[in-house]
Amino acid sequence: MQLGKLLGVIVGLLTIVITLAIAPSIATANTAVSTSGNLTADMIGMSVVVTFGAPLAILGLLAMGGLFIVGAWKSNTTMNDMLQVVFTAIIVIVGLTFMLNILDYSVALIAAGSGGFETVLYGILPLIVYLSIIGLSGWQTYKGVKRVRGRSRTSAPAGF
Amino acid sequence: MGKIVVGILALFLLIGAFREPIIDGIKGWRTSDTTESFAVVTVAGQTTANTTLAYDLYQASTAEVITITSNTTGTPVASAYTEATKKLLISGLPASESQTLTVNYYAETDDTVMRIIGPFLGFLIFFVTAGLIVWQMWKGKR
Repeated sequence: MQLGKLLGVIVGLLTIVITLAIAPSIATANTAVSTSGNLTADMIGMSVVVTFGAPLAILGLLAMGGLFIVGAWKSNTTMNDMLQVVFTAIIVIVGLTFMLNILDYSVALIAAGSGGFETVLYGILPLIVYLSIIGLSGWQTYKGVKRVRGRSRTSAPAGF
Repeated sequence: MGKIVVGILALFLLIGAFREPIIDGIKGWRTSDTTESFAVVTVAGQTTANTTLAYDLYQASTAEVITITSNTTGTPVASAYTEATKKLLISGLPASESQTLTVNYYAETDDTVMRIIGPFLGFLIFFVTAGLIVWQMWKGKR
């Protein structure tokens, strides 16, 4: 059983290494958003959140690695957990790539709108989508905490 | 007892096998592999030249210069770096020659948030992880 704990720690450390390896891709995808020509003043709050979005998402995923190390002692960390982090990172990258299109569509909507309140409504759309993408890693961490706690109560066996 | 052994092994893995990949990962996140070319002319008796990099050299260390190549003779090496002016002093150049130097180096990211949290990332990862391991060992002992 002790070997299972050690393997859990290895999964946690691997998660940290994999997250750091994927980090430059997330940062690059985020830079593409922050330097996009479509990021106009009408996009409410975007110019502020886009500066710390990528580090926040990566730190969220790194926290998952730490969480797995805690879970390892309760034999709660499985390979699925690590894969979930990788998938989350990929979704964040793809999401940030789509953000360029979202910005493009929002600019078109604002241009087609009649101004005023409509501009505000369309301008806030990219912020909601962006925060959803960045918040995904934090949400996964939150779910991970719940999962680790839940498993410890039921003392489920390790997934190795 | 078993939990303490696992904890010691986990700490050993953290500062042993996983240290390099984590440090490399942090470096990869904080830097970008950048290449720049400079036209340099040396006069008689001059074997050094100053070049101004476009980005900050990572950790302001000449060790972060990956390669320097010249289109002429000589073996150029980075000998000093001035952080405030981004000037890189290159030595080992042939005297009385016009040449193009290609400098490949690790440039510090322009991301303002990363510039703030970057220096603390290693500390954050290693000490928090080690702390979690020790905490779990302590809980296991009790």
